[in-house]
Amino acid sequence: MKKTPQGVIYAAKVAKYLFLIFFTLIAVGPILWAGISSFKTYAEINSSALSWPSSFRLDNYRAAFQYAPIARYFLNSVIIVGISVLVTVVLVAMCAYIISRFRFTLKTLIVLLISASLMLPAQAISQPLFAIFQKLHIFDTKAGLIIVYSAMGIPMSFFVMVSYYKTISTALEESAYIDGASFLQTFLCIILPLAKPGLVTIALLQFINTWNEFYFALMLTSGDSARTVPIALNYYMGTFANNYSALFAAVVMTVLPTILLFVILQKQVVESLTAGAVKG
Amino acid sequence: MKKKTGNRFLGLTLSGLMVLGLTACGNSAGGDNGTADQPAKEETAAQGTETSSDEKIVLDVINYHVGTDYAAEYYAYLFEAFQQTEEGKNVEFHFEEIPTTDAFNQKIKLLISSGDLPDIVFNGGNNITELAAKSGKVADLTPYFDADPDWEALFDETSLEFNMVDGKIYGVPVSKEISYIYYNKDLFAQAGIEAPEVAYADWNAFFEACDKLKAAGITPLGMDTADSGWLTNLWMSALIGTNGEAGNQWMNSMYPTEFNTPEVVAAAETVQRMFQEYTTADAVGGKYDPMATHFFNGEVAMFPNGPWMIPDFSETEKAPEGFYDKVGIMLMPGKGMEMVPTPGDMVGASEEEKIKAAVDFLKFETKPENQIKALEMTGLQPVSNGLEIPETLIESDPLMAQVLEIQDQAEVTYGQNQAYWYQNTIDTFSTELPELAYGNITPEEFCNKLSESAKKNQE
Repeated sequence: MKKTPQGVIYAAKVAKYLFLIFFTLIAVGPILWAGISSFKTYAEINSSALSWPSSFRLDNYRAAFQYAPIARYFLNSVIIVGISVLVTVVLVAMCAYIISRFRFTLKTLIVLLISASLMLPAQAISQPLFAIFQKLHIFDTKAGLIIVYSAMGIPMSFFVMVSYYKTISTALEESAYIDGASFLQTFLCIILPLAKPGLVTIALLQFINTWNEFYFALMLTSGDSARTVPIALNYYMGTFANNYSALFAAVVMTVLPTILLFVILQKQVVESLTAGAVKG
Repeated sequence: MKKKTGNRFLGLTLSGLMVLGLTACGNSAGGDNGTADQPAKEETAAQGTETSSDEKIVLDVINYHVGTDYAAEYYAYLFEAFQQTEEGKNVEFHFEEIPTTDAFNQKIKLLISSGDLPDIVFNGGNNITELAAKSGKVADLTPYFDADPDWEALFDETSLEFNMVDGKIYGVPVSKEISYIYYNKDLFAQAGIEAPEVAYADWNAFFEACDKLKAAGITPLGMDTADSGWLTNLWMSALIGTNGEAGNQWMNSMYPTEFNTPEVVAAAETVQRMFQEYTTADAVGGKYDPMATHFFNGEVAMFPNGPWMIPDFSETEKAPEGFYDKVGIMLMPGKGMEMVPTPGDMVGASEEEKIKAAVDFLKFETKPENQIKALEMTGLQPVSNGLEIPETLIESDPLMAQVLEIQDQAEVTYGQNQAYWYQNTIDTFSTELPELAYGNITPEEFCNKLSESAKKNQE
């Protein structure tokens, strides 16, 4: 076998690292840029997007707290998004399993109904939701938003999970049943651990979608008790008076804990994503 | 394994501490309701909208003048000051804050259709008066105007007509919108140009000055295309509105659908030339803020805008120290000035007692003293004509006083697209401007696209 020349190996290594650096920059660049901009003045931000701040002062962070109830909205976001992710994952994990594995009379109708809800634009359902929520006294509550976000997240997550369950061999369940496992034991002890990558995927999708959701957070709330971070960020965008410096400071403060948490749990997330691989 | 668990624990503790820090800082600054500088924001008067036990009348208000909004401080003052008056001492406000007019307009349209309007309905830029009036959810204010001739006399006919639907008044106009040109005196001097006292006689004289500025290495004009192309809209409206009677009439008509008129095409042609010869390289695709920074930094000589920009000239966060003194004001060529009545605030209350309290607030808002206060604090132009300008304003804010003086010298007034055009046409204007600027489409094609877009509203 002919040996690969040293130069080619070296070039391949350089190319690999350049490629990795390029994608790291694409991913981290905007966050770094927001971080640097959070120390710049209005004039510095508008004069040059890529310049360095003249000094690292904390005035913008002070202003961020002065203009908007950012802390409260952040905590609301954590609660609402956290619970809605949990609700979506639990419901979809069960529902998608039944749909993917069993045949029953109303199966097609249920799948059709779930598909149909994917087509509904938010604007079309906002008024009925507004009226129903007022009647049920859940307007302007965290519970109201959790219900909406969970319901909105279910259709997409459902299809992801149905596809995922279909990749798991039915032989595993049959073996479990032969060994005397009940339906619940099979689902909880055999299927769910294998479905971890799918569940993590839908949890991440649901988290991203609901963390950034603005429309329902605005329409279905009227006070500070249930409003979320995207609305807080609007406080810095007044008519003829945008305060980008404070906006960037607020963005950094609200994004940093989430990123940090993800970095810390990164190993678990990656492990979950690869846990489904069935060893031969 | 132990190390892994330790790291995880440390990380989670750090995240938790950050969240706690965020909360602690927030509470110390703004309390539960956040915005520290928004008095009376607390959900006053218990909950809901009913009269509370101590006979206070509770008025629901959705307020978009919050956060960094240019009028946030003024409206905070206004609500508080009203409660100190005889009419307002028994009134309490229950606020919902909605930052930005875009978000406000989205929500208010939902509330109009659901019939859950607040008792005082601010008008957030988009003209919602007709929509609200036709829904039957806002009060007819004509009887209140009829019963108080002194109040009615504060408004001119045009402003009231702008707020009428089927002959009834639904909105109380609180200001007028005007715009003109700001210029940098230093840059004019550097180019050896003497600025006109009121305005250039015509557009030829204006472009001669632009050529001189250009020859001296100075970029003459501030323009933009993004976010509805506000600055370019002001130039284009002026070019049409000062182009004879036909142009002026066109620029004063609501919801035009035919843009292929000689005046509009000529204006589009000039705007194309302005982009190609007289503005900054980042104007195409640029939005208001960076363009304003060019003006603050002395990088462009002329900038069209309204009086709400004046407070920024002395704000050192935005403009260099002493910039205020470098700014001069002139009308558009041919003594033209954009002047449009504003859609007024409405009353969404249905109970007689609340309607009366809401009307009292609107009367307070439009009192001459408060119109002057609004002018001083925000640059909002008084809706009433001939108000006496206090000496203190002339001393403390000579530019603002000059604005009041110069507007009386306008010989031609006209509207602007954000007030008079259909929303989708405003969007088309903004999205097609770069194509026009780069010469990818002709002025005629540009106007055709605007016509096509406007006509969709009549299909």
